[in-house]
Amino acid sequence: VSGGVLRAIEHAHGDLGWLATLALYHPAFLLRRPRRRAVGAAVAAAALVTATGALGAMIYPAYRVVVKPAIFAAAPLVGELFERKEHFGVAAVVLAWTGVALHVGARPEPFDVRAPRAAFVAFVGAAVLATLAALLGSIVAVTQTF
Amino acid sequence: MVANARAEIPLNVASHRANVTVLPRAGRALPAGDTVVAGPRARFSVGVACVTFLWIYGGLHLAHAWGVEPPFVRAVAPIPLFAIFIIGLATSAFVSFPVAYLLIGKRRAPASLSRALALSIVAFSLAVTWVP
Repeated sequence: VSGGVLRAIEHAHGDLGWLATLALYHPAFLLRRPRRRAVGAAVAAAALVTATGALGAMIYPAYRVVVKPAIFAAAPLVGELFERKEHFGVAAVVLAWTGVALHVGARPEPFDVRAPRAAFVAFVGAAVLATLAALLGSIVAVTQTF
Repeated sequence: MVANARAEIPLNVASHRANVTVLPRAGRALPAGDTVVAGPRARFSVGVACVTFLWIYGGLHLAHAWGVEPPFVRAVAPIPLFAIFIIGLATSAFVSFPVAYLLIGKRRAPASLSRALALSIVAFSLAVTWVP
């Protein structure tokens, strides 16, 4: 894969990452009330953050070979930040889909009444971790890119 | 006219009451012989799977950072991030359904899911922040 393609994917990954982060706050805000339905917002946010993660996974092998050594040589602290960012991103994707699964189809019946609350917790966690990942990723991108 | 229509329809209160299904309250143990429909059980399983994933991923991440990761991690994928992710997903899928099946009838299991999820998110964040 050429450097131009990697740079294009990297830029799309960064832009989509911030968009997905903002999108995750939408279901997190709506689902603070357990009876509120927000299936479209929840699925869209989860799809966005998954697409972001998929783009990141596509360029990650090349990043490890090309960019990571350069970052650690120039600014080790920034390299450490990126090592944290990727884990936050993974957790955001998993939490977003957990939120979707807990929210979709949940009914206000006695046995099912706790699922919307857990969906709210999952989306808040996904939004916060996605924010951390986007912030750290932006700091890294300022330092070194493909 | 509405009043007339209402007056002409015989209303059998006893039969309407008989159609009402009494469900167990959240957090209470199910009476013996009662069944739980698949939807709530599946949702509870997903919540348990997410909690399991966060703990497995955090644990393997710490093991990798400290150089004591199990040998099978490298066998799954050459890149540790991908290997830990795959192992976390696979383990949570296998563990969640039996655990959820055992817990869903327990007294406080559904009520504890939100707290367990929140605690797992905090523990995961601390683990990956403390040891990159």
